[in-house]
Amino acid sequence: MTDEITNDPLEESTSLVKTLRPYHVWALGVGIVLVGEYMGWNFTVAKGGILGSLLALLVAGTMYLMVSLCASELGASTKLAGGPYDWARLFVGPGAAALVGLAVYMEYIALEAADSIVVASIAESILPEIQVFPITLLVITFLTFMNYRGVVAALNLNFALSFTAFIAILVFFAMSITGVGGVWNPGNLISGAIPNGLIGIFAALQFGPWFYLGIEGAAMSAEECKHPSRAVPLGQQAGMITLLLAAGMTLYVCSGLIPTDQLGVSVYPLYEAATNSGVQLLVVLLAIGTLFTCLASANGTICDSSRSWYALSRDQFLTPWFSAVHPKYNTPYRAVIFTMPIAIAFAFSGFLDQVITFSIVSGLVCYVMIPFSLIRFRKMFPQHNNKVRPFVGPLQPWLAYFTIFLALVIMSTLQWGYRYNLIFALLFYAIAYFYFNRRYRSLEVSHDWGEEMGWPEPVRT
Amino acid sequence: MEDKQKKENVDSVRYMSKLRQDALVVVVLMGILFFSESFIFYTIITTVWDSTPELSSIFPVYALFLLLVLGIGTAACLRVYSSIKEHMYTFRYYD
Repeated sequence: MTDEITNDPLEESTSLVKTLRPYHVWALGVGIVLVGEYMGWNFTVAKGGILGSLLALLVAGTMYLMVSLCASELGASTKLAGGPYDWARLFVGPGAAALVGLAVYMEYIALEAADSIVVASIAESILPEIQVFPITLLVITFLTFMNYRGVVAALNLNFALSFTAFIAILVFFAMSITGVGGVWNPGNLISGAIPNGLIGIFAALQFGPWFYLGIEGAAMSAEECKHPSRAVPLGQQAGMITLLLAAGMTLYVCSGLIPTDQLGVSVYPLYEAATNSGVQLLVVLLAIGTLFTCLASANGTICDSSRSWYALSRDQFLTPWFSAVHPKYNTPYRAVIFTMPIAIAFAFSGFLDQVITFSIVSGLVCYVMIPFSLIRFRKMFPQHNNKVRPFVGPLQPWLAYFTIFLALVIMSTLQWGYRYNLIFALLFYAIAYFYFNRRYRSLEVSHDWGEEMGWPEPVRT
Repeated sequence: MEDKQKKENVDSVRYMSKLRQDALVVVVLMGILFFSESFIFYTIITTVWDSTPELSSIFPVYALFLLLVLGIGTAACLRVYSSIKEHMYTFRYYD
């Protein structure tokens, strides 16, 4: 029995299999994001030193906790695979929906490309005779096949990979605070506490999302969950706490084991910290963790980007050809396969740092639109009942307003170093918004809440 | 009435046991979160406090966001628990 307590027409018209449990939701969210603890977050140190990194961790952590709460409420209510796209479509309008659908797709597909390249680079560093190009292709192909074959198999793989990578961080932290994980040097923190003054601390916020980027994607599995009103909130919040833990532990061990000037530019900071610790067990553990977390992230992003593409197609923003569901595996297989050429194109564009920045801006666009969708949802459907809102988030809509504020603050800090990327990305999404809003205005007018969601008509706002 | 009927048709002992397992996961995670975030925050701030005079002026911002992280995290977990408890018979979470 699924969460539906009324006859849901969507359940009859689509056939995505409903088998996922809370640990799958956890695995999807943590799997995508945990790579950010293994690499990338340390650019906060380059901008603002250890104190800049600590503030970025706390500010971005607050924002993502609130985004997760918004996503949990919206995901448990709508139970649709498109996630942020579907929330914007239902509660804001077609232009915003297309904008968010594209943003989610770009955010995840760029991450997939980056993760695959890092996996290939790690393989090359272990076996210098192999080349990055074919291994990247192999990784993308293998993970696409896993997602084609079935969502349960793909997310079981993610659970195993993410859990191992998280345990590696936990063991490293435990060994570090007990003194057996190398010499934790407080001098590193003192010399690199605040190298660029207060402006540097503020500028470090732009890389804060690295710690948690993509956790909102966990709610995109709602349509495939056995009990979305339990699995989504529980899996998503457990995932968010896991990431907060991992982020803090990572900052602690790395700041004490790597000099700040090296930490700010390190490619694999956790692995480097393990190497500096001189403990062979940790070196092996963190090497495995780095590899596994990249694979888990690439795997999870294929799952989420394909669902976003599938949802866009199902609602005729794209050709309906992509919305086909595999008769045997119950996966949106055409949308899954289509992630391959796009990811490969991103991977071999040669401008990976630009691609990643585009991914961050895309994520921040989502973090404005997700809470805005929740605010609209609360206004349109103020009643709390099992049919409309089985999970009611705390302190809403005030947390949603605060989330939008923090997302805009973090976005504004991209002007230090990535001004043109920010302008280009916002221009891209503004054009997408106006184009789709004009083209698909009729979708909003012809919306039938009873038929699509089994809900009563909304309050006029 | 409908909820009451559903409650009567399920194994309540099993449901309460499963609910406690869900609660345990959340409590353990929150316990580790409170310990680790407080420990890390305290260690970093006390290590650099004397050598960084600017820190005293922006310390309230750090303290505010630490409290927000722990406070919102706790509120979220309590709400998830109460939501599961409220709906577990209606949606038959543990069958």
